[in-house]
Amino acid sequence: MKSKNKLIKNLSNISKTRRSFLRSTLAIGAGGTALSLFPGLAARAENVSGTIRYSNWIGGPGDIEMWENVIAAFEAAHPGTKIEYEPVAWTEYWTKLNTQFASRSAPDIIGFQMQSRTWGVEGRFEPLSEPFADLLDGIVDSQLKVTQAPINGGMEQYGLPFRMVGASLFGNISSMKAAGIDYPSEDWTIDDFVAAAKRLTNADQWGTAVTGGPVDLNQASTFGARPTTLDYSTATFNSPEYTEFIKWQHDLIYKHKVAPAPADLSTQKEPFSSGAVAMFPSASWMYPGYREIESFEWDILPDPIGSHEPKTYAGPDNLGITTDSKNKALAIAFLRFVFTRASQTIIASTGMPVVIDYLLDESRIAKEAASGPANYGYFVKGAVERGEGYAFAPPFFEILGHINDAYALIMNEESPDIDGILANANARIQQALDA
Amino acid sequence: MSQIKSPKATVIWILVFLFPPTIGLGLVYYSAVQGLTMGFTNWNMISSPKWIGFKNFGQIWNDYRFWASVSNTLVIVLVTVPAQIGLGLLAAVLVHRTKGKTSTILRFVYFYPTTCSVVALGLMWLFIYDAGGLLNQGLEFVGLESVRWLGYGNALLSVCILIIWTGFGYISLIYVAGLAAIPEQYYEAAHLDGANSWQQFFNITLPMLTPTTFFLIIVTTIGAMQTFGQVYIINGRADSTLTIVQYIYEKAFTQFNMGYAAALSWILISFILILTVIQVRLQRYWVSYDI
Repeated sequence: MKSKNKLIKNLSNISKTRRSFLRSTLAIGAGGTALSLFPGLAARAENVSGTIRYSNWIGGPGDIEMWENVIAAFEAAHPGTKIEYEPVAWTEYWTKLNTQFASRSAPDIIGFQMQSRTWGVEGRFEPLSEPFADLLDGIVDSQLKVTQAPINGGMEQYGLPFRMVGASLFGNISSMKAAGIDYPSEDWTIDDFVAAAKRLTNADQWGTAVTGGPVDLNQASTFGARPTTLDYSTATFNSPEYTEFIKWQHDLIYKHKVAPAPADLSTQKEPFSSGAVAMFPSASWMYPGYREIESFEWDILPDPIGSHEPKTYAGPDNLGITTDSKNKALAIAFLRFVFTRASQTIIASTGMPVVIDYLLDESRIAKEAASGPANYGYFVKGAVERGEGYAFAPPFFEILGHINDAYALIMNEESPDIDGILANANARIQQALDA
Repeated sequence: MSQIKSPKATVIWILVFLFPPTIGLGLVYYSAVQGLTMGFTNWNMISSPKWIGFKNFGQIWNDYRFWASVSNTLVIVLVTVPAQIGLGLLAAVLVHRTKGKTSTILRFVYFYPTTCSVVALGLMWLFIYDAGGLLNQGLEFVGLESVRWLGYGNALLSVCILIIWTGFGYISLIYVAGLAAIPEQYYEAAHLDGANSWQQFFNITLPMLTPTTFFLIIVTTIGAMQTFGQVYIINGRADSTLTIVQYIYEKAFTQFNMGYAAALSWILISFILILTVIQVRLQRYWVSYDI
């Protein structure tokens, strides 16, 4: 209870800041300008009809079903409407989207990550501060900020977060029990983690795995490491902290021998659900897939503590209305429906709701925990109290590519030139940030 | 079908049949010219293109990823073209020398991969090359150590194997047609003169196939220079399998730097043109059109 009060206090403070921001935004007229330019957006649009297209990437095994359920609920509540859902694989989504933008045929509503800062200003997104003003107060502020962009001297909401996703350390509880390892307490350290990984490693299973990429943030943060500064202006991929983290991961493979080299890990089966890896950094969008696991008991483990308190990678996935939309009233109605309790409950199966009331609702948390992971509350708490938004700079894909390349060169060799590879990758990340 | 009698009608029919390819070629050349112009601009597909002169071409010269893609593409050309031609010829001779159902089965087996989607084949080979895939299972079964087929040092070779496996069936099909066109009398005369099979092959078959080989070298070289689908699926890390066309795709459709991608395209076209001209010039030294 004490914990919940603290969370609410945190979020309330954030909301006050956001309210003052919103007032100033509207005061400088950005919202008014938007209203005059797009009068259709001002409507609350309950009596809507027609068809719109909605496209998003397939983030995990449950995304398609999740959206089909949300759409079915919306169409049932709004007879005469049709939402044509266009799910696209992650690797093709951005390419397809940009070609649609170029040909002025983008779907009415699209999913996006951090692009509103450029796409909003470029005129690809409708401004949403005014038509959603009554909803914004209830949404987690740190997630809202990712979808804002400066315009006319103020800030405009060019999209809305529909869920928070994040990373956790997933544990094969059955293997842990078999190895005589108790469920770890929240103050366990990275040394305890390595010791547990050693006990879990056997002929059929690795204790852990080195993944690279965004889901590493929780572990990297315990070393005080992140690939760029928080304002994304400077690459810090070869900082002493990041170098120490990389060397620690390299040791997991070659010194402690508790993790496979990435090239030795099959890409044809998911490492955790297949039972190949016992403690695996993964993400909330995998919940629907992990809930299908029948061969062993699993849960989220607390993030082990290093020289720094661990952060929780937690960031929003967002929705925006494109300026190509032919039925903006229906697009607004659907987007508003996404923030109803019914929709947010469905969406929470792949992460967390963004509406504060639902996010912290204990009955909802208990319901998710009953489906798994049992320690879902730890994930929510981590995301709210020490979550770090994952809104990388616009060259996100380039940065991720350089990080993955460095991992491939370092983690697949027993004696790589770690400092040299990190320095080289850091220079390339900086180049991408400067471009 | 009724006969076309009047010259006027003939001209009309010629124009009718020429119309679709003319439109098609027109679009191709319009796109090419448009692409060249685009190479001198900075354009992200959304805002208006900005003229920046030769800046893209200057950047390409200092772009380490471009040179990595050139190096990988040249390796693919140097490995896959001779291998495909050699294996294709071998397969064609086998098909040519067999009769009946065996010949039909061999044709089917060799040519079938050529008819398959490169994406499907790429995915299939991903399973084969996987850490726990078919190849490594086979190696472990016979007591050998498994190989990181998709690791940094091996990924390009793995791509080459995929390209060779996919492509040599097409080569063999063309060679089978070339072999069928060689007059049988040449072999009969050589046989009467006491030439054995190897002598017949090297002194009759190979020289008579040089026009076919020349054609195949040209098309397979161009195909290898344009390698994309296989490396898009295999996708070795740290640019280990990055080809020029993949880099063009990446610049155009993931980074949306269309001007840069257009400039890269023109450099690729220039490479292909230079290689083709060299091959055409060199043909006089080894291609025989005498029958």
